[in-house]
Amino acid sequence: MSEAALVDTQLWEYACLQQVASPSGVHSEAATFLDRLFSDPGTQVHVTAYQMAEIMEVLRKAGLPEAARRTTLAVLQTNCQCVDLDADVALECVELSLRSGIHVYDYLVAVPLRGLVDVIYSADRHFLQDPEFGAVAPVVNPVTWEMQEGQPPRPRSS
Amino acid sequence: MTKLASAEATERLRRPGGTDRPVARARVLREVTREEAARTLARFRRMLAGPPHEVDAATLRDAEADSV
Repeated sequence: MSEAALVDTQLWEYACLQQVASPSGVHSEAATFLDRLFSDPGTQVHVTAYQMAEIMEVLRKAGLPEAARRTTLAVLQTNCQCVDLDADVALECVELSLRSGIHVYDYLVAVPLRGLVDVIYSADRHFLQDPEFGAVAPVVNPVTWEMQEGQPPRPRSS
Repeated sequence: MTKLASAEATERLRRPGGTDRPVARARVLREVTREEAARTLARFRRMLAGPPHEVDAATLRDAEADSV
């Protein structure tokens, strides 16, 4: 059975990086998850044009070497389905952000993929907080930790 | 291509505001041979399996800013 999936940015981030002195499970779980997802021929990972840029920018600011960033970019370009970001959907994301108080970036990652993805993989509590994300596709946290804006990963509460 | 994606040309979804818009069209940004795509993916998977790049907490929070 085929599955079209959105993988939220922090899962890409922690698959590539490890925070010094943080529990090693954070990195290893994300890396294992992403590896398994890409090794499954029935799964097609989708990204928005915005998320592609966001992933690359987070990895740049975190100091991931250029060669590793180029490897990541090549996968995004050749092994993922990408959706352009148009003005109408960007405006819709702004309106959703105004309504919820959640920053617009999470909406820019997910909303353009409405109708295209079957599942959203995310460890971000925002994705469970606003049903608009669940309206795009069911939200599944594939790891044992979760994140909230501006805070390090911590064990999942439920 | 998934069932949802293959129907994208005709399917229209209801927006929260009440207007319809077509489902976006997804595409592979750089078309390469199946072999090259597999080699690219293998490089990425080797990277994931290797030792991770370590970063201190302050740098990581700054990298994430408020977007992640």
